[in-house]
Amino acid sequence: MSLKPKRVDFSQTWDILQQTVKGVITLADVPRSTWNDRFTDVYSLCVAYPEPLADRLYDETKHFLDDHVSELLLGVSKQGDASLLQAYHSAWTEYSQGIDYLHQLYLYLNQQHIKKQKTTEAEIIYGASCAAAADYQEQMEIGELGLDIWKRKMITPLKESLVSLLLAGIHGDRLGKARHATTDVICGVIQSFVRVEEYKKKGQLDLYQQIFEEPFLEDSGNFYAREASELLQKSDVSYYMEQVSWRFSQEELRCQKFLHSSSAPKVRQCCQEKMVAAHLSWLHTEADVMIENERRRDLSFLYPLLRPLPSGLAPLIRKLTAHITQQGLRAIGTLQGDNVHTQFVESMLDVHTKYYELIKAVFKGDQAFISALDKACSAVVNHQPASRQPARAAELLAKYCDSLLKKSSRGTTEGDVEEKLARSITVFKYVDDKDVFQKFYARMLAKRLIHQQSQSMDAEEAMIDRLKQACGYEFTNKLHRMFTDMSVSADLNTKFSSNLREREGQGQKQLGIGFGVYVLQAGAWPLGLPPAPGPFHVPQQLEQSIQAFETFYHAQFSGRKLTWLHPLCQGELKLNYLKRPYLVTVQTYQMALLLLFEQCDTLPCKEAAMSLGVSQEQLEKHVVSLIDCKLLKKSPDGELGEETTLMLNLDYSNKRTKFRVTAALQREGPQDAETTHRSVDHDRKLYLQAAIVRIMKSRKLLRHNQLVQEVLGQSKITFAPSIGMIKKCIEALIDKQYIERTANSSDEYSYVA
Amino acid sequence: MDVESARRYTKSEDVSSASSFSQKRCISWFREYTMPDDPDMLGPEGMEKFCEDIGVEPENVVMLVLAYKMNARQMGFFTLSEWMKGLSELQCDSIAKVQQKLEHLRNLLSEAQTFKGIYRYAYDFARDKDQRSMDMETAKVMLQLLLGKHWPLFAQFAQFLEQSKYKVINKDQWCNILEFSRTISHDLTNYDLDGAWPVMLDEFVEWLKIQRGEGVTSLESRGS
Repeated sequence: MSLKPKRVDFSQTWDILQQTVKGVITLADVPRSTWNDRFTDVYSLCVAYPEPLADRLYDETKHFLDDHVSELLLGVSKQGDASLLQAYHSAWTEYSQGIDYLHQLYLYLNQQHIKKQKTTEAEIIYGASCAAAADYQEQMEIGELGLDIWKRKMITPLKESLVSLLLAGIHGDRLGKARHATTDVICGVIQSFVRVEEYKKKGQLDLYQQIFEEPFLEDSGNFYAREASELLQKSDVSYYMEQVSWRFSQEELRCQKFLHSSSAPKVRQCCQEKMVAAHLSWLHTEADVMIENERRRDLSFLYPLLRPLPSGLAPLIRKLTAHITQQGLRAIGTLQGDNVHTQFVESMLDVHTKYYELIKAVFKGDQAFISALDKACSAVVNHQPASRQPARAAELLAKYCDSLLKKSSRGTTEGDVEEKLARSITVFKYVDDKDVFQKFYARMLAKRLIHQQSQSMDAEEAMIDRLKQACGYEFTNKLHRMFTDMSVSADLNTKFSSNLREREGQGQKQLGIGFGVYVLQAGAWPLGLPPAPGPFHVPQQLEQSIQAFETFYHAQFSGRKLTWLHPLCQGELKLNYLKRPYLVTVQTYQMALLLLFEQCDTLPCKEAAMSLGVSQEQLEKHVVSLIDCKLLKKSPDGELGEETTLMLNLDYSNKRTKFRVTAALQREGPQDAETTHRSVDHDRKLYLQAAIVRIMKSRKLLRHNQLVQEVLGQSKITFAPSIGMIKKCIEALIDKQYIERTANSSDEYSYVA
Repeated sequence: MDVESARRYTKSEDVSSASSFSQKRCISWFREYTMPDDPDMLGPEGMEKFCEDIGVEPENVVMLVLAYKMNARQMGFFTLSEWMKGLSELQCDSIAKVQQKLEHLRNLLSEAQTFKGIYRYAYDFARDKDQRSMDMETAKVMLQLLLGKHWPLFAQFAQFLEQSKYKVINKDQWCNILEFSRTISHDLTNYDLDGAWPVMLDEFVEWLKIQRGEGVTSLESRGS
């Protein structure tokens, strides 16, 4: 075989070639040798001498294919509606395969002759370079030509009947009446609409969308609208949603089975529109009832239906917020008894956990629902039972932590306590008045530390770390310093006793008693100075120790001032005058009082008060608890007065030999809570004023609303101030001439330097 | 100088009261109201006589305008320099001339900008100089004097102050009351609770709405 161009007789060669072409296109048996010869023929024609015959070959082939498809069309349409799809499908199967082969037979023509003429990709994208190209009937590769001819000669005349048959077939499938055989046919026919334009560079799906997808979507829409209204008439919402969900999943499968993948989202949208969006307000009304009764199953059907719609979930979220708020308020509304704090925190946690799990299970943990939960919980936690009365959450939560961290006889394990404390942070995050919490927490922590009531120092520290994580270093700064003071004090006491031993070694007098001191920084501890009516006379047994310590301390840190907080101290006394010796722990004042009885057995109140340097009223407070525990007796019986005589009870007996007398002052009264709230209020005003001045100083000029927003932003970590409070602080600063209203605008402030 | 003014004095005496302003005559007129031991200070008694002479009640608002013209520091008193400043500006050196100017002074009250000046001046004028703020009794009298006739809500505002716990009014509140009376409509619809108004006015609006039976949004429920 020679590749050299030579003279070729076109008619003769084409006659032979045509036979093979026919064989190829009808998938007849074409021997390899023939195939090879014809392949060469195509080549010879393309390179023929003197004139290449490629264009003629192209035209003839086109003509042949035109005739062939027209013939096929006749055959297909003869079949009549009943088996039209079937006939079309088998014709297409054969033709599409055949044209594929033919394309390969014309490989040389395709690659050498057509490619050259083809517009380049750049021209397609940026537009043809010359207008003349538009008129020119462009030659196509043979495969493409075949498909184009199929489109024009076969699909165009048949499309109406084909599509209506297809829709009928799919409708049958929806009703569950489709036979398996037709499935393949339907699928194949639909595929053919895509295949014939696949070669195009642009608008590949135009034909498919135009002749099939559009009517299909319309038909589906009608079907589902009908289906929905039928369902609505005969069923309740649960069944409706179940059916709709089932329809959705079925339709999805159907899409995969029959359609081009690009149609799936459109079909889904169509279904949603007809079955969900069209009945949205009804579904929303039903949803309210579902949430009211917490019908989890129904809600988990509803959620995926509503989620894709732009405004589908908003009413659900609103309703859920309202519902949780209501449930939460109910849970904490009726708390009574001694352990209100425990009930409060644990009920709150129960509510939170319950709905958190519901949201996770039913709403797939959707963030929008989680924030609804947060909003509701925050509303419940910060709910004010009556206006002008502060929310109690901060105080209750602090008490709850206190009750867990305190030593208690109840058999809770350390792990239990840890877990409960960790969970309490959930509630803490919802508390607006974090500064109030901090105040209460600090007071209770101070008590636990001073009176050594902490269950475990590790637990204390872990809790402070949790608070720090939630609120930052600033928030727990003082708590940390309290902690440090305790360990520094321990060191200090060790040094102090070794110092004492040294002095003993030098022959100085022993103190004769055990003596321990906590040195606490005034700024970090929430301890008021003692309400001293007069100077308390320290019992002489203690005097020496106090002096020794002061000397020791001042030698270590000169310039620091020590203030003794006697009401917070306690001492241990050994009672030797009874049948058995007892060890009793009492508060300092009580200890001083008992020590007065070293020299005598009876003492009038008036005298006792004088020797201690306390008021009659204060004395009575301490005496009462000593009388209550029967260490002292009084005469005459009845109300204590200046004239009452106190007597040592020489017949005292107790099963325990070591015990504690509860001091009168240790209990937290309601006044304490109120003082705390007042001091918090005061702190807040200072904080806000400072914030306003800071902001104004940097901004110089600011509108009212912007200023309020900035202040809210700065303070939200620790508390949520009311607008009124901010306004009052602004006014106070105007009055103090830190800022002023600008002359030309009524709601703008400027900083006064 | 002395000779000059003395001559003019005699001349004007001869011609009529409509003659030009004489500083000297003005000063000697001032002295008619002062005590020998404090000749440069016109006190409450002198004030009473002065009012009587020009035929104006001491409580009349025109007296406030006159004081404003003099830029008098303290209610019930005129110093010589204040007297001279005000009266020379008005070109008055006699009873008759002041009486002729009274109408003009009253008219000043209806000029918005001047009225604002008078209103703000009134605060410092009437305030007890030992205190930063004005006590409520004085404030009510002054508000009555200045706004009583023109502000339709004045009666309600006075009633509000009566039942409120406010003991004093500070300057900011004082200034904003005028602003409020000028801009806020009778039905309160253009009042913005979240605006920059002092809390006192927020409370007034709340109170008034409740009085009118439309109190729905309470201050407490708002973002607190």
